[in-house]
Amino acid sequence: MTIIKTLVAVIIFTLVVGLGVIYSGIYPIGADQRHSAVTFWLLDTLRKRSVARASEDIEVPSLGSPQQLLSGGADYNDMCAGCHLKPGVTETDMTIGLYPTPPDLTVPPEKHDHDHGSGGHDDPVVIAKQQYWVIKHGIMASGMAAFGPTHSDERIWAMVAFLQKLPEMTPEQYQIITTRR
Amino acid sequence: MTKSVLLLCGITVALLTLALKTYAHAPELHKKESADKPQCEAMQKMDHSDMDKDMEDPIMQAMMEQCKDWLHDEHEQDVKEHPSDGHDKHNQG
Ligand code: HEC
Repeated sequence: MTIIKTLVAVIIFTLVVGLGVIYSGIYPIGADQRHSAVTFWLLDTLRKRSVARASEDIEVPSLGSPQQLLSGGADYNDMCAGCHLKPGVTETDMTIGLYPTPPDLTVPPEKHDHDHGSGGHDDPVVIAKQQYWVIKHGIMASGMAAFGPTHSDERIWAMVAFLQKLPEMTPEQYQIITTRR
Repeated sequence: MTKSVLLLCGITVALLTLALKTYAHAPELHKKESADKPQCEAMQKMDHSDMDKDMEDPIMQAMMEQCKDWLHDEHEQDVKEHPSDGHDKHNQG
């Protein structure tokens, strides 16, 4: 009986302290702060597991046609390059100021400083599924918006196709391919 | 009475059309944002040593598509600048 009483007391105490911390306002929420290791692990694992699970059953269409590169390239340049960089550009206000920092999509996925959840870190099919899902649905409480409500699946897959080629593009190739004519 | 109802309807329809226009997200709307032209001159300096690879490479194919007008103009200019290349050379000697 005493065990149950103690347990209940501990739970109530934790809840009260937790709520107290939240309401007191002492938690630093500024994007120029860094998460503690625990918070980082929690959010990082939550994101990876969620994206991996949600994108599991997506079927990847054939990717890589010149038309897809042109459609995806122009969209990428207009909507994404400010945060995810382009060949020859290593930082922007957004990459410096946003936290979590937007990953540099001009480097191959296997060289990103974070991996992509369990199950095939560098399997291109898994990466394509996850990129498609993230572009379509976005990631809560980060700078990454959901582009699904405003863009067709076709245009999103074209962006995924473009992302696959982006790491091997020179600044000149990027300029030609991403310019809307 | 009917007049003001009609007027209200008119205003609503006009505002709705305007709102929908603003939200529409067609590729053409982006066009104005980037007035740049593809800098096709850069294609000349790229490595074309492996022609077979060029023809299969989607990056190269996408660039050729973007630059097809320019490549065409460039060819015509060549013809204009050197109208009868080859023939003149004999006479110049
Ligand atoms: C305002 C900045 C911003 C813009 C604009 C933006 N993103 Fe993101 N994106 C982010 C951030 C931040 C993350 C990381 C989120 C996280 O890890 O919690 C991210 C994550 C991603 C990821 C997942 C990458 C990985 O390795 O896990 C992809 C793919 C992606 N974005 C693609 C795009 C595309 C395509 C566009 C344009 C249509 C775009 N983003 C526009 C900020 C942005």
